[in-house]
Amino acid sequence: MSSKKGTSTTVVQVVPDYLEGKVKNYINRAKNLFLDHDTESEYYTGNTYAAQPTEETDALTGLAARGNNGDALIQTYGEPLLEDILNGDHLAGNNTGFITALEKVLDKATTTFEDDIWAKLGGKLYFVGDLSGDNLAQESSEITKYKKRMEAFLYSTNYHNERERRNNALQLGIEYGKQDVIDAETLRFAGLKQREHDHGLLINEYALWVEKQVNRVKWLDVYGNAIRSLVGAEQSTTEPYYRPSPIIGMLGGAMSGAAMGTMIAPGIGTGIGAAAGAIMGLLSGG
Amino acid sequence: MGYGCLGGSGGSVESVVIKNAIPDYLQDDVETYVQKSKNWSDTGNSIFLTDYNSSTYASQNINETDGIAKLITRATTTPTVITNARTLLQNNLDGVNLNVNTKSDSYYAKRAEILTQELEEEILPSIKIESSMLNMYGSSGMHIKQAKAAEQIAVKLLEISKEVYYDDYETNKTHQFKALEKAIDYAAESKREWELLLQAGYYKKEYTQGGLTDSYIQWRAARDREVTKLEILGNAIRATLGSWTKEIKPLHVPSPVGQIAGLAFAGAGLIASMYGSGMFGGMSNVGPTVANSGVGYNPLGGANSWSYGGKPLSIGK
Repeated sequence: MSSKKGTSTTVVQVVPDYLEGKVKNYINRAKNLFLDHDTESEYYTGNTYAAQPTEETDALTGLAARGNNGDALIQTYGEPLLEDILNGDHLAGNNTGFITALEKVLDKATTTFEDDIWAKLGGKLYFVGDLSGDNLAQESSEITKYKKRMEAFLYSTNYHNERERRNNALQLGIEYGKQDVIDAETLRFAGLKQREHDHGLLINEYALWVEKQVNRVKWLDVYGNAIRSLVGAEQSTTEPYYRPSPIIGMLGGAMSGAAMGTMIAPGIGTGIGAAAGAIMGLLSGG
Repeated sequence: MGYGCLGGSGGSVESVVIKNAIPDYLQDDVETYVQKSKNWSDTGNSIFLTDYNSSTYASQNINETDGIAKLITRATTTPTVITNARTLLQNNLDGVNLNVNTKSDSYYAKRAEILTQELEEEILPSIKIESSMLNMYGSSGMHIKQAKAAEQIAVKLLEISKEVYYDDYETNKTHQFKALEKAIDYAAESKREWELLLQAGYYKKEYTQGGLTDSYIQWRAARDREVTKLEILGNAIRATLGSWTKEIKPLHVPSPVGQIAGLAFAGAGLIASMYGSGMFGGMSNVGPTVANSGVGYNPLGGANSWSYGGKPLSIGK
């Protein structure tokens, strides 16, 4: 027989008796929730991202076209005219508008003069003594030189005015130069807004994907939360213990018994006392 | 709780110590609270007195929908004032409005008519009268004077023609130039209209998105309802957990045989002390040896507890 080693366990419970059933109910339901939802198929199947309405797609298409092509007022009409003015193309008066105006001015006056004014003079304005009959008196009335003067005046005026416009056009150069930037920004804006929508869709799909992936984890966490709540609900403390060997007890008992037996009846009493002491030592060790 | 013992005679006993941190007057409330939480938490029971069945997402009112519709209409249908203005600007820039004044010819004709009339009714008669008075009627001088009078009329006609036609051209050239500046604003209008349409689209999408999000929130709320209910119980449990402790501790109790043996030992020792040697006719207690003489200490002997040879020994006597 030898000495004995073992453990002794002390348990501390912090769940009141009246709560025990409810605690088990809580933990079981948390577990069942997890088990019931332990599937990837359970996630939201509805639409979570609004599609682009027609107005948005049309607008983005329109903005892209506007950005690519610019506006006709600028591209087709304004800019070429401004370039002509700044280049001084109108200074010489060879543009169609000026020539038309000039012709009108001269032709109208000439026609009136020839058709209406001469008719009022009546007959031929002979120069007396002019045997040739070349109407020298009439020839002294000459409109051509006045027409040329008027023509020169108008060219000069036109040049002056076109120079004035050319100088004033300087302030428009910068604004027209910006139009390409505005068009480019418009095109970029259209692209950006489309990308925002597309990116939003990707984020949404990713969020749904993540939710699908972690769905089971969420329910596991419900279960885990219940478990965390009950951690510490019971504390077991196990400590080692040591118990001497029964032989030691027998020896101790035998010695004590022998001493007592000797006191009572030396000799035989010693032996009886030792035997009795050994037995009692063995029994008391239990 | 088992506790090992030799020979099966040792006892396995538990010591149970209960500590309750809840005052007696609160105990019923605590149990009521927990029970109520359990009832509400139970599957199938509703947390609320009634389920909420009404809408959680407001419909668009007529002003909002009409407003958006009008924005779309404005964005897609350019107002006439703008299209007309744009056409005018375009024509001005293109030079279409140069030399097309339909009133010019009439204006010129009226002014030329006055000049012709002046020549006919005032200038020429005056020359004829003057020439008659000087007996020069029909002379070369009269004819030259008439020709020069006509020439001055031609100069005036050119002035009138310039005022009517060239000034009109110049006015419209000024309009054409000013149109360059205005074209910038009108060109931006086409961009603004697309932006307006885009904004209207966003308004519509925003509302649609709100509805989708609301539906999703409702779905999540429904899905998580069991968790919400479960945590009602969980919170009640957490609230009361630790308010009460029960400590169960094993106690080692010696076996009854051992206790009897111990008692027997004690009795035998007592008897040995009282009667000493020779009780059963044993050996003489002569001699000072401890082993044989019974020298020892009797704990019950008080001041005379020391003995020698079985006789009490009084110290100092």
